[in-house]
Amino acid sequence: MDKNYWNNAISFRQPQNRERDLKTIIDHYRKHIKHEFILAEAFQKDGIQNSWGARLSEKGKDWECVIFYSKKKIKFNDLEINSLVGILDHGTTGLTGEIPKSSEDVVDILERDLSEIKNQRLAGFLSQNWSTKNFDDLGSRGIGKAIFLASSQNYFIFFDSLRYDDHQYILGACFLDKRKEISIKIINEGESAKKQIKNSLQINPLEKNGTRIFVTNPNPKLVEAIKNQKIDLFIQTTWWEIIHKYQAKIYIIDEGNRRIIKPHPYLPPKNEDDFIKEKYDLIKIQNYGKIKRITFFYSKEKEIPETCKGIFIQRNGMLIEKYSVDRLILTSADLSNYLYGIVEMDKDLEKEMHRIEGPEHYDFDWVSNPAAIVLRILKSHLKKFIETHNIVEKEKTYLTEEQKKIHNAVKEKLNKYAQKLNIHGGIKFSKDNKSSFEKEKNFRIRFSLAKLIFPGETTRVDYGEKIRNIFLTAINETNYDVNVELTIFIKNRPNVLTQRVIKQIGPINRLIKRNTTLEKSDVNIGWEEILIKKEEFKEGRYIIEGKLVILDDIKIENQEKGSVYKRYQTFYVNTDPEGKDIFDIKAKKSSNQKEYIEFEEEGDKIILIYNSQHPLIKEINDQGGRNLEQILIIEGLNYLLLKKLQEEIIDGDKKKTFFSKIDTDYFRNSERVDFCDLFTKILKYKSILTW
Amino acid sequence: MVIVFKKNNQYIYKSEKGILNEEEIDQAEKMAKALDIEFTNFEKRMKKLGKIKQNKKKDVVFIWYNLGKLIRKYITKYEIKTETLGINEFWRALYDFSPTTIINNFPNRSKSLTQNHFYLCYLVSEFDWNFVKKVGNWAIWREIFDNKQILKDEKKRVLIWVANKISFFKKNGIKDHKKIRPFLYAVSKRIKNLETRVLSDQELINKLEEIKFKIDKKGEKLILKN
Repeated sequence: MDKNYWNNAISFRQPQNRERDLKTIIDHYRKHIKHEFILAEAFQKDGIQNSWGARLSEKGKDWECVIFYSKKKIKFNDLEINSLVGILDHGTTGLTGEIPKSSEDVVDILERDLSEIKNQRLAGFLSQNWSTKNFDDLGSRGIGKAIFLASSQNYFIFFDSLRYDDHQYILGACFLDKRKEISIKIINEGESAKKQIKNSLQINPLEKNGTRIFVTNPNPKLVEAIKNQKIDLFIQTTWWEIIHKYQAKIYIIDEGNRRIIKPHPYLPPKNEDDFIKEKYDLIKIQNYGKIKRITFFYSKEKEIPETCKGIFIQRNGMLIEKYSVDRLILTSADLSNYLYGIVEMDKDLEKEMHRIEGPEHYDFDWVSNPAAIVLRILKSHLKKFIETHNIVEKEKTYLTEEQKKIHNAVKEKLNKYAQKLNIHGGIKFSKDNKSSFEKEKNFRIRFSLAKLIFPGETTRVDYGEKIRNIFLTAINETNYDVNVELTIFIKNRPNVLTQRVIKQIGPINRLIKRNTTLEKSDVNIGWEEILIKKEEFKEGRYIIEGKLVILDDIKIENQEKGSVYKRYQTFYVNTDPEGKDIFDIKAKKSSNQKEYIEFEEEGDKIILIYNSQHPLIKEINDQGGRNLEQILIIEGLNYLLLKKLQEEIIDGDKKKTFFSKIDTDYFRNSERVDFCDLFTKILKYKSILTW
Repeated sequence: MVIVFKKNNQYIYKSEKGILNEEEIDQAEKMAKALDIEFTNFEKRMKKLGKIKQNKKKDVVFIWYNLGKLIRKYITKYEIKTETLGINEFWRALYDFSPTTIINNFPNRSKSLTQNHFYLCYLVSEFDWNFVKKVGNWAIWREIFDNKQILKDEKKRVLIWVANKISFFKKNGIKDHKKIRPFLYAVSKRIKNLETRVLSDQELINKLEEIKFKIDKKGEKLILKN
């Protein structure tokens, strides 16, 4: 095709009805805001978010933000203005950056590199679905700004700004024109802009750095929320963190009467004695950052107010989502009316969570990581909180001998499958698939720990019994003699710092000959036997740790002078070993219809809890054990397969998946998931696994 | 040694042996009372110097450094053996005695020695004040202490080496603690599997000097080479 034809072609842009777009945006908010003052809620959240994002000092020193309502009557060209709602801020950057002269200019500015556009707040403000803000900032997709236009009954807003960097004053207007497209006008010459605002709006220009937005003829519902002070409640709830931590100043001026937004009385609660409170600090999520803090509050007597029901998921000082307590934990008690909480994250994790946040800043995509991990952590900590403080009385279920047998059989089967699928349970996944033998071969100077001899078949030792053959034997596969320090000691695991070293042998410096034979008489240290006495060993888990430190200045692969090689083995005093089993089975009795079989993850364990009152279980339970065993295995297996799928497909690492090994193309090529198809696939894998 | 904890103005005694005699209790009580006085005086002194104003702290490195000095003096005076097993109980107990204007909460993580605020103050006070200032603000010191490996060496040689390097970065315009973070990671990684105790000063330095970096003065960035 000849290019010239195109040059002469008739050209125009596809017309778009922006009025409809603006209405659609409000509809999106409707999904998250379940009351009549949708606009007021969205207006304050997006307005204050833009303002806080543009603050000059990290902790908001000298920052303030005002939402105002005025009944001023003004005539501006054809437009009759009867009232104004607006938002004003100080201690902010103002609408900085280049002043675009056309929409092409705006796009041009916003398409530049992130580092270059960081300060282009004006261009960001004038656009939609672009933004000057990179992911560190509060907003990002620029949908919020449309809220201002949508709040005006005649879709007309003014804005002015005094910029902190070049002290330039600008005035602008943004409106829906006759063709239903959004038009923008800007007066950038300081003096004439100042004159204009005085003449056409009878308003004084800004004197301090900041930005002001006027919504003409605002939606009556927005005005109503200012009048009846509902908006105060929305602000108090959304911005409680910055009001509480930084004493952030947010005001409402309603026809000249000013009121400040006070701290939320429950965030944190004023009277802490009325609450059971618990904080869980610094929970690391590998590769994503840290949860700075999870705080739970449980009101001992009074029901908590509606605004603070749920778990507050915060980002950058702002409330994003209130996650319902009922969705986190299933109890028969009416917990959600008494319990609430806060999740705060560090900058790294906030950044990752921002990527999977909804465009309206009201929710996260909870099935993607790291949100899915945050959710799991939240669940397990909530459970811990409830259990530690006996908030919900546990329903005791006594197991019959028959049930115990079933539990053990189910556990055994499910653990076998978990092992086959390489699922390690809980939150941490081992990514290192090398066997310990392969790993050992990487070290040419090392030791081996002898096989311990226990009195019984497991690693349990009772008082008065002995463990035998506690030795480590040094191995040197280099061609020369090497001086090493060998140590063997026993410690009680939970208290590493106050560890109780029972016996320590060494340091032993000695020459180790190449190809040392592994006979006891050679280079080995340890004990023939240890008698477990009550005075010396508390009940619990113990570790026998061997340690080798290289003392000579050698340089071989992976090892050098000072290198440490460690190995350990565990044993249990007067208690049953935890083993590598990750499954545990529990039964409960509940008449709640939602409760059939549930799974909870705690540390590195998966707990299957079945409700013996559920009709399906009750019926087969009455018929005899074998059927119950089957049903628990099947449901447990489903959970395992889905967990594996989550781990491999959703969490990434598509290379080595269990699923893709069987059906590579399906998982590599499918962007969308067809759930029925997926279920059939899962059944197929289940079949292979259980054959 | 007996450690005294203070809960609701009552003393609770703990000993690593689990058994304590009257003499030990007397001595522990004497020490606890002295600590109370020391801390109260310290608070007054800081207020007088204008370092604590209306419960807000100014120049925190100065405050924490001097708090560390105070603890150091106290440890020497009462011959507290910091190597004794169970000694982290001592560091935890300090939270009970601290005036609220100094430390007003006891985060869970402080249960571990390397996260204990008083222990960190104590470590900082090992250095000369001019050197501490030279390294930078408290955020940088925290950043150093967040890397447990750096504190692992008994003679604190890695810490001293790192502090010197940071002071050098500062001279070259790299002051933000976040910019130093990758360097600290690299140090941690280098010594992670080493028992530094068996290395001579020179051997340890040689290993640390294997971490190569370049300073980009223009972008005020630290670029690690390997």
